[in-house]
Amino acid sequence: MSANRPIARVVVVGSAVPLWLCSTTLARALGPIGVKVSAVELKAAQAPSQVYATLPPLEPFHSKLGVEEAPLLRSTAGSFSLGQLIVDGTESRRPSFFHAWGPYGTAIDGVAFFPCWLKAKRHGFAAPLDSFSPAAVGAHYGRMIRPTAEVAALGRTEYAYHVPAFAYARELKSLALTLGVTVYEESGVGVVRSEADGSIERLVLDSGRMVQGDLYVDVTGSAARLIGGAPASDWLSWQTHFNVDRLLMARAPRFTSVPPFSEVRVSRAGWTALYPTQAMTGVAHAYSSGLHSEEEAARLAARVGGSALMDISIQSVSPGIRRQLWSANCVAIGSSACLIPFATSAFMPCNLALCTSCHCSRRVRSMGPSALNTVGRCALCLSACVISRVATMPFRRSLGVFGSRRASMPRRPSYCTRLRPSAPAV
Amino acid sequence: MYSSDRLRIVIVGGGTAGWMCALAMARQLPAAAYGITLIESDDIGTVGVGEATLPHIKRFNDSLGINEAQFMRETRATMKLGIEFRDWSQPGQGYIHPFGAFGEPWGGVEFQHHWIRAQKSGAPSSALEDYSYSVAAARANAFEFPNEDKTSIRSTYSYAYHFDAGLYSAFLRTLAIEAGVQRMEGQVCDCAREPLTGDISELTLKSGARIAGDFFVDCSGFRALLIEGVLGVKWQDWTHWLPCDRAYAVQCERTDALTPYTRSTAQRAGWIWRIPLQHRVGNGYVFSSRFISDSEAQQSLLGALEGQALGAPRLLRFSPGRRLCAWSQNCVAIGLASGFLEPLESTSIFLIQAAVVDLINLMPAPHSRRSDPRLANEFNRLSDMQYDRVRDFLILHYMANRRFGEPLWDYVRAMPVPDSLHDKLELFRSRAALPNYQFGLFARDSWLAVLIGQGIEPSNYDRMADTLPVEALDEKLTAFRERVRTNVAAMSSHSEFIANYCGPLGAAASAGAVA
Repeated sequence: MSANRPIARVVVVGSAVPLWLCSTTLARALGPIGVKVSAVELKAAQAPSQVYATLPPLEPFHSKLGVEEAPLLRSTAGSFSLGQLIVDGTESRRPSFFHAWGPYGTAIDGVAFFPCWLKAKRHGFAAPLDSFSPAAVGAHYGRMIRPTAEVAALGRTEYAYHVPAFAYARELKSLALTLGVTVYEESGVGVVRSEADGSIERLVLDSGRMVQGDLYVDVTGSAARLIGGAPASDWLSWQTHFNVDRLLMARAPRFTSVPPFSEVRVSRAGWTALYPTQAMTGVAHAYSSGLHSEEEAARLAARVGGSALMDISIQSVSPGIRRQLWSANCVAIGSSACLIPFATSAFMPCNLALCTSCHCSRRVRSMGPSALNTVGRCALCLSACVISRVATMPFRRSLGVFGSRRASMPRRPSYCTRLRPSAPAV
Repeated sequence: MYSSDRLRIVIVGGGTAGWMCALAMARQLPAAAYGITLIESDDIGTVGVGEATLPHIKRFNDSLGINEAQFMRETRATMKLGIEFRDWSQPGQGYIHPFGAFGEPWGGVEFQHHWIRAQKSGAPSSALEDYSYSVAAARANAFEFPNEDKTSIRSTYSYAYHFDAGLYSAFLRTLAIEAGVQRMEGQVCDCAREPLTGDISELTLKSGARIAGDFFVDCSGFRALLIEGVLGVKWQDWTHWLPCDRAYAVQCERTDALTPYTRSTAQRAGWIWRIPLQHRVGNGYVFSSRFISDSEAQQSLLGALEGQALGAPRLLRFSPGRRLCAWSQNCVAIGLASGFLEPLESTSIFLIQAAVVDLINLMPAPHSRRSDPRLANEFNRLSDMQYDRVRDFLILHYMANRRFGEPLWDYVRAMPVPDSLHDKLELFRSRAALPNYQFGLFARDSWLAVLIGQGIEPSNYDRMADTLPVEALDEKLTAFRERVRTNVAAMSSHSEFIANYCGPLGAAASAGAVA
């Protein structure tokens, strides 16, 4: 490949939602100017019960991509989310709190809302901060609020989704095919690198076929099949900040009335999240294998989920970030780039990096190393900053909780236990 | 006398910084909780920096309820749409850094990518400035207020002022005293500190008067009476990046047009400013003493004046840089006491304004600890960010030059620049990406004006720009240039605008009678 030839072929390697989200975005953005996008779909063991809990920026992202909201939620049996309820399930029993999408209150005469509320509180005003967030109030009453002019006076309303991963991937894949993405369904992939600079020369697929591109995107998750072998792209562990190393995923029956929010329950060994959808309730349970066995973890998740779990799968996770997200002609996106084992944040790096990389894909080779790094760091900082806002809030409160001895789980009432799952439909 | 439950704020120095700070605090902090005293001396002159400003000053004035026409009349102000840089990239070439947009984004892609694509396509295209309404207005010596209708091209800019900084201080002083600021005449000669905390507790004036305070603001200019003299906070020197360390300043009569912009003309060992006011023109030669003698610089300045000099040139000495921490103990330095950057981009008053706003936001509460390191750290972080960003932007003007064979310009072209600037430059060179700050200076279009104006060429652009067919791009570019041209043609002239809006009262009346 000559140094200044524009990128004409992009090869995306991975599976499931990250693969298809990435391929469709690139095809939608760069297809019209003749960039060919190929997707190498690896047959990875996909957790059948996984539910993606997304963040509000996915809505405008979808609309740029051409994914319509109502048909998507209908065909995937997905649902809306106005935020997440964080419940302390340890014996310290700190009060639960709701992390709402969107702002709390609106400025009063040019003064930010929060200091006004603090002042009012000091003068004996009792209304909690939550009561000024349309999303939090909506969630409390089990109502969905969509942004309208009327609601806008109370502050911006934002919402996200709970989308069953399997159906979501199916929908995105069919969009990718419509957009002209060439799909290779493979069981494995080999990487041939240039000896000179470690860049990828071609991929050798298990079927014997060969795929070449000017730019390779690694969305193979923690396996990091492409970027993992690139120079200077080692993994910086965040294990000290996120003391969990296993993620259990399962499904519970759907709630009779589907709550428009998720619940995250913090426990001694990690956390358990419930993601209600129209079809079922996704259960994610992250824990430290040093504190719980698989059986204990499953028992705990079932107790929070409120009934017997189905389709249980357990994978190991290694929280951290890659030192170089973009190395030679390979870019890492999604959990091959950064992995944060906390509820909604897992999806965010993927979404953000895609926006940046579409604008950056021209003539990668002509960029100096420092410029490349700037781009990489830029994507990294963005995701890290958004993520830290999401992730540190509950964790700061629970930092002291992890790493100590095991204890039995006290039961606490919460929104989700009030909205008990219905008996399985007969 | 102050009651004990009030926080007593003492401001030292009554220049632009002191009075901007005093007035803003008096208007925005509750009087029941904060008492404000300002100490100034008629025997000490003010530097009167920043006769040219940035558009942010309008927001500051508006938030204090200042009547614009009255303020402009009293400070002999004119309007400012941008800054013209002559001979900076190389002799004979110039550009304007406008306070406005270039073009508009198409297809979700920023304008510069479309423009660069057109440049590279080889098709006949035109200069970047043809796509800026404010540059066109400046070149035509025209002015009118930006249109409220956001879809109109006449809304795509903002404006600042040129004014007499001495008159501005006096104007603010009157308002501040009305708002309850207590003014003390005198020179500070001694200072007492709390033995345990090291906080400043009391100032003594030459007259023997003693002023106790809880919180101190050092607006004493280059003297830095408190922040350096008392607290000993060190200075970070940037002379290796910005070699100019002196300036001659002189006023002269105006013979050229009343331009709605500041002019900066590059010289052998620095640059000369031209700031048009209603009644005169401010001029100055900012130079590096390493590359020219004082007398030569003075000669060059006098030779460049457009009219009769009003008085003898005044010499100012400075060193570019900033205080290591502007907030130390219970004292905050604002203005020249906290940092100095040459007035190339008219940032002095902006930096005062930003510091005042940050200080008001972080002001310790009455009854709280006076020197809270958490507040100080945040203030210093914001302050450092502002200074460092302006510094990088100024360095850009110097380093990207083709004035070969002149020692100052050869030096700055070859010097290593800060990493923070280097990375931005490389990213622009690589694909025309512009810095996008959430807070502070400078906006994307400012970077674009200076990067292109200084002759830096990106090798590529955002590839998404290619989704627009070439013919459609050509049509859009032509139509936009036409919109700029026809709209500017309908504007009133700057001098007429000033005479009608805020000229001397007698003059406006007689002009009205003639009309």
